[in-house]
Amino acid sequence: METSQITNNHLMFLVAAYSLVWIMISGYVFVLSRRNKKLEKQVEDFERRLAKHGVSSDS
Amino acid sequence: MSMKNTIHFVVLFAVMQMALVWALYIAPPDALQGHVQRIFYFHLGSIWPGFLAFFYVLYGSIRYLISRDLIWDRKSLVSGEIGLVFCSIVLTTGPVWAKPTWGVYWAWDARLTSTLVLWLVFFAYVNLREYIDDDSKRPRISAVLGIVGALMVPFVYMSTRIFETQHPKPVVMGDAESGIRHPDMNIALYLSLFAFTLLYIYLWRQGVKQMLTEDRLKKLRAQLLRLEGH
Amino acid sequence: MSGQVLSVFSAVLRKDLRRELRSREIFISSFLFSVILLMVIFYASKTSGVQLEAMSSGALWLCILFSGTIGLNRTHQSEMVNGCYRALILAPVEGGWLYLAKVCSNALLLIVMELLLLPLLVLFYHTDIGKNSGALLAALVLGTLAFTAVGTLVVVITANTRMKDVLFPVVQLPLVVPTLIAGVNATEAALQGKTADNWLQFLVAVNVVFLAAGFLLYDFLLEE
Repeated sequence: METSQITNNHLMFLVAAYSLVWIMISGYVFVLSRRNKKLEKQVEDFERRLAKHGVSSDS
Repeated sequence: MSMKNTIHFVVLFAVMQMALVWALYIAPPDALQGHVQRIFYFHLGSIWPGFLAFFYVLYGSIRYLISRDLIWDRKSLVSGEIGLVFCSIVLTTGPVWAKPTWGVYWAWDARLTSTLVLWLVFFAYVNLREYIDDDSKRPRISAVLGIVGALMVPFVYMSTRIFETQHPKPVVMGDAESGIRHPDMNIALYLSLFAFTLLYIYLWRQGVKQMLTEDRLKKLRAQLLRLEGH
Repeated sequence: MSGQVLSVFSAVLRKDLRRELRSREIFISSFLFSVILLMVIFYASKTSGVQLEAMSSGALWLCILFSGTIGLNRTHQSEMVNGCYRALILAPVEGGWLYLAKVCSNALLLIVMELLLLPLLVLFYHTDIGKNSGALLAALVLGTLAFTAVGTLVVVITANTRMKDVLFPVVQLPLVVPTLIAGVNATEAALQGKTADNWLQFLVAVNVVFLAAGFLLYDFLLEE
């Protein structure tokens, strides 16, 4: 009874460790995606300003 | 480029999945520690690309100072960032593993101390450029710090090792004693090392591509401003 | 060429030492800071029941680290006023020689301060410093040189940033952890009358690597 309880408690640590791996990596992916958003905004701004000069982004 | 990317991602995905299955299911539990020992596979899996990233920072910074090509600055910066991520994984999963095996979250063990110092040096390298206002100085100063920091890493490890041999401690369950004896344990370890290396390279390539795109946009912006000025 | 190198080297060294001899401001402030640190360390560790003598090498190295950090920051700042640094860059030799001269002057000032701290250690911590004074001196000189070799480089790195006063210790202190570990252990061995050869060799290795790295890298930091 007692040993199974200990293993259960320990399983919690295992889950915590693997969650931390995931949290850290997803954190970096989130940073990358936020930078991507910044770049996208810049491209949109360029398209708008080019359109004013009569240049269409499709061409 | 894009095809290579897809293949890389597919392989990364498959290897990571296999590493998870082997580490969490197929490898037998450790005789002494039970299932917690499974933390070890991903713990060690992430310190390895952390080191790789640091060596790359040294290499890339030297290449930058010689060639003055901004691409090397971007490459080593992204490497430093990912190294910081992997170092953080090691630093957080370590205590979680230490609590059930050693009884405390933190011990001033050689490995812990040196990884903490490694993390601090990485952190300084990645964040210093935020505080440099002069655009032309930024890559140069960071490169010098990258070289100094990376050169110090072997000394950090050596100093903590000599310290340990001088003061032998009661043997706590370290990496060697936890008993990697079963062949499936070896397979799990190598799979996770491979998976994390692939992950490091994948993230690095994405990051570098993003930085280069940012640089190109900056150049375009300057051209656009000139166009509007006319 | 080598004559020119030597004259620039000694000119920079003499300039730094003479300025310090005249004003003594850095020296006095870092020495007083060390005295305060010795007192603070005692009261901070008193409750843990550590023996006074066992604490002395650690206390000495904490003083070196913290007052050394303050001192390096201050010497570099006094260099920045009146365009003194700009004039130094114009010296007709490689930047590496300027770096070596700066390391020498900074290390000399710190070593003099350490020598003045030793009697205070005897007084406050009842340390017996005479058991192996040769090894003690070697540990202090090599450790201080390793500390300043890194610090002289890092202080110029952080001087280019917005928050230099805060960033210098934050960047510098993790980088000198190996020096601190080696210095404390070598000093402790010397205070017990032994010679810690492996730690002294370690410090020599740190010195060789970082003096060489600083010599080569200093030019990149001086570019405007």
